[in-house]
Amino acid sequence: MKLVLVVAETWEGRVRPVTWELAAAGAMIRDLAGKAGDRLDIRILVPGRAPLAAARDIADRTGIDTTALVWPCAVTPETLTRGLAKLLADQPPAFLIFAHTTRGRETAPGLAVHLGAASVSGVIGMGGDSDGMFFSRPVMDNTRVQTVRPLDDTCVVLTLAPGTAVGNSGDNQSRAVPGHATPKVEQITVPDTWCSPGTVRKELVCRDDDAGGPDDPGDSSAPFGPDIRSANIVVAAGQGIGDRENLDTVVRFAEQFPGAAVGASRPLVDRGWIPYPRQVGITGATVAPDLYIACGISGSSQHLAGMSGAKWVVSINTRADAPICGHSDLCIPADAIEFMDAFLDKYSDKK
Amino acid sequence: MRILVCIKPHIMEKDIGPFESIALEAGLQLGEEGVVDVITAGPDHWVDTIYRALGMGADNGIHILTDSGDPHGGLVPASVTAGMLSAFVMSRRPDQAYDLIITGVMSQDLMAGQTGPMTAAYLDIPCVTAVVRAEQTGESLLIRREWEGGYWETLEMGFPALISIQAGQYTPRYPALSHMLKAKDKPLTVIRALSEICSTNQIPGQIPKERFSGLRMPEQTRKGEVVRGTLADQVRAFETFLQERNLT
Ligand SMILES: Cc1cc2nc3c(=O)[nH]c(=O)nc-3n(C[C@H](O)[C@H](O)[C@H](O)COP(=O)(O)OP(=O)(O)OC[C@H]3O[C@@H](n4cnc5c(N)ncnc54)[C@H](O)[C@@H]3O)c2cc1C
Ligand SMILES: Nc1ncnc2c1ncn2[C@@H]1O[C@H](COP(=O)(O)O)[C@@H](O)[C@H]1O
Repeated sequence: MKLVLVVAETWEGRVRPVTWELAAAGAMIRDLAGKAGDRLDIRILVPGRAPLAAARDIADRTGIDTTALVWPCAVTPETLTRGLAKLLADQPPAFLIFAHTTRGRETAPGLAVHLGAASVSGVIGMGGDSDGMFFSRPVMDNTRVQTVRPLDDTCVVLTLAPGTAVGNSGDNQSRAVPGHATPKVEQITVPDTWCSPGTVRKELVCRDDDAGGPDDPGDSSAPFGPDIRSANIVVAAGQGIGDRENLDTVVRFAEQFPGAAVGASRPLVDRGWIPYPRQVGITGATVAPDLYIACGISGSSQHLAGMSGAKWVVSINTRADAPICGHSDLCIPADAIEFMDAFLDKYSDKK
Repeated sequence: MRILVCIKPHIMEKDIGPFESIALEAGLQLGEEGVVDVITAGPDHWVDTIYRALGMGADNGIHILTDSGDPHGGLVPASVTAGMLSAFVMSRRPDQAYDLIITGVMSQDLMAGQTGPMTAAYLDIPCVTAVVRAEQTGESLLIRREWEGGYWETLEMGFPALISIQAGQYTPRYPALSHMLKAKDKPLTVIRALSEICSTNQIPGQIPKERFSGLRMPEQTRKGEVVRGTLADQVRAFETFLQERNLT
């Protein structure tokens, strides 16, 4: 029987939560292909130095059969590409699913080359019709969505955008438990000869402290309020605020809401305007406040991945056709700074 | 060191694409003492992107002319582009071979992040993506790459290699007017057909395993109620929105 293979996302031996979304996506593909008459089995691969415990845990939680792949060296995109290419060469699966993270983005395309597979990157939706399976992914700076159709009978390697809904419904499908009651766990040991890394790790540092990146002069977090991950209101600034000085307006605006924290899109963090722990998105923090106010943020899939769990979203953007508008409950087409100033003026008038 | 930077145009402005200009800046800094070439595979008007890069300081331009039928020109399966880029790299004389190939972490139009890793796979050279900083130390390259969760990993790798650059630590320079004036005199190689550089049946990836079957507007995940009117109207609508949901 043909297989849907899901590659669990692990970090330094620990299972990352996006793995549950991958499992749900795998089950969805199995079901969609099933409707089209292809009977598929699903299995989760868990590569690691000693992955058996993680493989058992994943099987328990998803009800899906797992394979602990005992890796002879560090699990890196490079060794994964080579190892999986060898492991799967004889019988490529119908679908091979990675997370659209650094690891998945770096592994999937090379693996697709080795397996002669179709490669679909950053999938945000999927479906099936009489022409077979299709996948949706953002293009043109997130202003359009492209439909990609793999040719019949090819192996399809795909990376799934974390945090975005699987399917087009917008539900968080990752909560579905797709498997059965007694999943099996097997273990395969990958031979050493498959490992010959061309890169050597020298150091691994975490910049996840409130002092920001290594180039940050010091603790500049004070004006930005509490930790964005626990705040009930997050006011987030993007490139649309224009100049760095305008961050003051954003801070004063946020101060009008008790307990609010100031967050930002990545470009502001990259420029050193605001410390890294304030970054919302796939390479930053994931937040789920009651209210998220996006000021001058376009709504890239990488940003949405960090805030789509907010209860209510308001966006302020000069362009009503900015992608963020379709992901907002209230969409205010205005200059973000003028809007905040107007709000602040009115507020101080009342006093 | 001989470096090849792979570039594409910006989709809205007359400029190099956002991630490619960062990649080019990284290439220009790394290749200060060496040679920095730029390559693009696209329709004829993409040549402006090459001139812009030459104006920023690149030494030679290479344009693989394509006609994909896509009106913008950039929505081409990554395997096709990667196959063409790798064919060009392989066609180089040994004394002109590239030590380092640099791409952006993703393009603005296709947004795939596939072209770099696929090119490396076709060339069978090591590849590291999401690189925020790269420095040459003797015979090897010291790079800092980014992982989710705020991790920075320092890696050492040999040559030849391919890296993709993520935003963060390189700010693209502006093309100097004097450079821009000279740009049109710098060497530009136009490849009109790949058969000029290799035997075309050796080029991988040209028969893609997937097909692009249409574009649509993004789905809305929320209602997206648009508040028009004056600023005062908008502020009022915002307040009402908050009050109705007990958010104040
Ligand atoms: C691997 C990878 C990881 C990434 N991780 C993240 C991440 O974790 N978080 C993240 O945010 N990004 C991330 N990015 C970057 C992401 O792709 C976008 O580039 C980024 O989110 C854009 O930020 P922005 O919305 O602030 O800027 P832009 O996309 O430039 O949008 C600015 C918006 O402001 C509007 N605007 C302009 N002027 C005004 C005004 N006066 N008033 C109001 N609005 C105005 C514009 O219409 C536009 O919509 C990542 C990218 C990659 C490739
Ligand atoms: N047609 C092209 N010509 C030259 N370089 C390209 C082309 N397409 C993609 N690239 C390079 O590959 C990177 C990733 O592109 P993509 O795989 O389209 O997201 C880009 O940032 C460019 O550096």
